[in-house]
Amino acid sequence: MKGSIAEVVAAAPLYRDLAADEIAELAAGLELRRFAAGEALMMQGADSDGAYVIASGVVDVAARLPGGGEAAIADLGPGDMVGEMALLMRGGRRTATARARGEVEALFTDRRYFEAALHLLRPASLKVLRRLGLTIAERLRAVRARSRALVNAAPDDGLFRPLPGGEAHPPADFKVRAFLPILPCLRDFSAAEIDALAAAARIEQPPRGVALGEEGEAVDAPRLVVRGALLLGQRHGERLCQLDILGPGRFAGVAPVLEGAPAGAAVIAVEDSTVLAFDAARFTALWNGTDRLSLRLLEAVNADLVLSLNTASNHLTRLNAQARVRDLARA
Amino acid sequence: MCRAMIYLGRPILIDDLLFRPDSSLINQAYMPRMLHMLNLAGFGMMAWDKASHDPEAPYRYSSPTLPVFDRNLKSLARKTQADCVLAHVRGVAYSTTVNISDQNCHPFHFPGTKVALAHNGDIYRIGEMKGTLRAHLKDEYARQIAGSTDSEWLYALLLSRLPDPRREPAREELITAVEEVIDIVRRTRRHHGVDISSSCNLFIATGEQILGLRYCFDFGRFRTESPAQVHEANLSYLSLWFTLGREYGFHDGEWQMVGGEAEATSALIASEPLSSNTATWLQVPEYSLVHAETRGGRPRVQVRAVG
Repeated sequence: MKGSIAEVVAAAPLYRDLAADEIAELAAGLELRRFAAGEALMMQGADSDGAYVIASGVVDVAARLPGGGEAAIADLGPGDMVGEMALLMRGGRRTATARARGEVEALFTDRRYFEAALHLLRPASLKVLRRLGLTIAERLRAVRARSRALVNAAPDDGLFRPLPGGEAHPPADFKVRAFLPILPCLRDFSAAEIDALAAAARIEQPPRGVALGEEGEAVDAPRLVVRGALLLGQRHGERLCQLDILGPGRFAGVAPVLEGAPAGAAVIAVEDSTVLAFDAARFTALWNGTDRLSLRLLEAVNADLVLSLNTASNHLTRLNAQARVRDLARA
Repeated sequence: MCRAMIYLGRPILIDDLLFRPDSSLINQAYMPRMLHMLNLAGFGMMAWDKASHDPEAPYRYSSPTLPVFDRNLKSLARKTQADCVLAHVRGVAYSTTVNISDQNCHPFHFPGTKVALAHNGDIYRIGEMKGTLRAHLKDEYARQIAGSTDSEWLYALLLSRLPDPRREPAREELITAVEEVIDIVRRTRRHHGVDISSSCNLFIATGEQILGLRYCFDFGRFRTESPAQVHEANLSYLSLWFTLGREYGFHDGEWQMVGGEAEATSALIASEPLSSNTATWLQVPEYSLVHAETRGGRPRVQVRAVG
């Protein structure tokens, strides 16, 4: 390994927001691990116990395909991180296998160490958590772009659905605040934290079929679904290619707001819904904060991004599998 | 809230679906991984075996008892192969008002018809809607409803929408009939002012083709009187997964489908994967169906959005 652990950490994109003393603090919790050629850093399906920053060498990342075989996902080099989902979700499993192409050295962050640092609201760990969220958001955008390319290359009628429509139910008159604690993403929030979060939002009740945002446009507000569901999709004329369904407790439009990027997909109410629409500036300020509410929000948004990425990856794998079966049927 | 699975393909020992995988259907009765409810209200299975007497007719086994303690089922599963299997463990509300009986065990299959159906979900306030739904049922199928489940009504509706339930339906006939059932229930709910989420994952088999539907009416719309009345199923979309390949079995230390799409002869659809390692399984999208058939020697699998 060239340089000290602190130097390797400082060069990794994930840690680029950290000051020197924060890097030193973080480096103290890292463990240097060495892998021989062909050895696995992690196996798909195994428990996620931590993440690696590659210090030297090349790591091949692949995911298994239904029915056997593997699809290469990425080859990673020094400074890249692999297995970072472990730092975002408790009790998760590896979604890919990472193997050393030659000899590899990597710095391992134990999930428990990272959790403890977060619990203490250590600034370095909060910065890493924010950067992890943005990294997942970038990957999500990339995976969806690959899916879009596949769909555009070979449009399959089965992939498209009509726009949601039909007669809407009258808007529900209910005490929205009373139901926020049952949302899975807010279960770790205290009552005061939920009050503070709700104060940064207004209530919207879009009927089925109403678009809250379009692909390529700026997102006016990050949203949280309270009741009903939103559809994330790509328009193809009068039809939609469905990318994700966001039910109660799911966020919509957060990544574009945080990234300052246009929306990657249209957001349409697929059921008559009730949502919290956050003031974008206040939401971003909460996201960048250093108190426990900010930590809760970071964890909730990151967990949501991981769910979205898993759905998008599954969608891409399914499109690939369907394309192969379709080609076989035509052969 | 139930768990179910359907298999179609190379002959397989029923034990390899029901009991042996680490998250087999029988294990899902008391230890589901993707549901926080137990499925203790009975077991049912229909299977087709081309090597059996009268191969087009399926055989049935069901019991309102817990399948994990059912030695008869285990004994049969260890000796019996089938090339199409539809199986279900029933989960119901923990209430003395629920009827646990053999008549309510899925799958449902009326004599002389080709299609069998199991349901994972709950159609909210079905009792109030039966009068309206009855108008969409053919008399010969309405008369055969023997139990008290919402699922048997969905089955009778499906048969009533097929051009001829006594013959093997064409793929499009089956898919269209499923879509029409969804449309009828949706309009009936509207008519009765029902707008609370109701899961309707369906598992359909004919011995020649299988279909899994992942659908929910008014997804995410929970009751608004009190947070205490909100059920887990109102907040999350019930899952549905599938895998395809040449052979399902114990390979490289785990239960999985092997062979890849290039050699695919078998497909498996389930409420949740039959193994804790889900790497070789794919999720069916919400508001969608997956259909598989092996007619003509080529695998034909289609995932289709349902509007």
